[in-house]
Amino acid sequence: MSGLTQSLPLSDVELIAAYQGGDQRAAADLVARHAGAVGRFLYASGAGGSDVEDLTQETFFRAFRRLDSWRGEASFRGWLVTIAGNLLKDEYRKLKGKKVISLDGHDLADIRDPDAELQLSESEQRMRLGIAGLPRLQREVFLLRIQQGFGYEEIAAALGTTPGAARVHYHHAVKRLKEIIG
Amino acid sequence: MTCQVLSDRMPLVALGQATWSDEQRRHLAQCADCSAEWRVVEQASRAVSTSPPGLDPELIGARVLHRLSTEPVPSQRSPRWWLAGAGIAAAAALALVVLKPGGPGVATAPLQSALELPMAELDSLDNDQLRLVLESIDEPLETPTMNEAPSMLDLDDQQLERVLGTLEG
Repeated sequence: MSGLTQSLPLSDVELIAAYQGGDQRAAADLVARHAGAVGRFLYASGAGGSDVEDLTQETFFRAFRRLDSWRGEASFRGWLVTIAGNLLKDEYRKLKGKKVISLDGHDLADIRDPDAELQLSESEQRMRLGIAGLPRLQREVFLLRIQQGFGYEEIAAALGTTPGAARVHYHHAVKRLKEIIG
Repeated sequence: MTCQVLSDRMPLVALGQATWSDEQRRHLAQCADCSAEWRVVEQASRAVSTSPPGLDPELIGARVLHRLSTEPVPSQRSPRWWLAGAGIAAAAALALVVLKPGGPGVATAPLQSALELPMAELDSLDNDQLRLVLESIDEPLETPTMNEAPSMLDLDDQQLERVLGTLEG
């Protein structure tokens, strides 16, 4: 009788332990598992298409250099998103004079990516601009809910806030986006 | 059926990880607030599901591993090393003052002559570190002002988030 067994994929904690034990492949697996999510987060937050790969790479580099500081209060993905958000904040500081466009009375950073936008409807483009223009905490809470499906407890752990505050930020974000999309 | 129950469920339904019950569908059809929020969540979920063009996780992984193996790890010495060095330097300066010919009672310019001697450790200290050394010798002449408060750059990520959180709406 053939003993076919399907092994479950290793958890993030197991992969991290393997990497810390010298298994380079484990690090590559972690990147493969989370890079898409980190990239989509950065892209939706307003990072230019050409910058997303650099920022994603830097996010993982910093994460692996600081693995000892991840104590597991937040999920590994939530922690990565926090690092990515901080990197993006630093990028925005460097790009203070970036173009701004006006959308229904809201001034938003011009993050239009002509190549990508060919795939989006006009309303989706407005939504992307609106999300990128949210205040940082509202944006990050909203994206963690919408992109990752995180609950408020998980968001609070990732962003260093409380579940109640996260819920408030989310609803503020929804309210602002309702005004933008009409 | 409350609006909050539906609101909490919306992202998961938009992601395809949950579905509406019949009761929830009926509420959604009848509640203007919930249907408006659902419209936002549905559109947002579609808009942000777009992957950035050209993102290659395998390439990113290879680059990250390469950097990890080639870029030096920044020094993580405890900041106390400089304090120890500064303390030794300060003690040496005091010793020179006390041990100058004529002893401490002689009216010389002890501080001036001490400062003229090379003190490599003191030269390498920044203003905050130097202030701490001076405080270990003398009482502060004045209470700290706002200018001596930690700058935003001194805050770690979590502390900075808290400050930004109080500034953002």
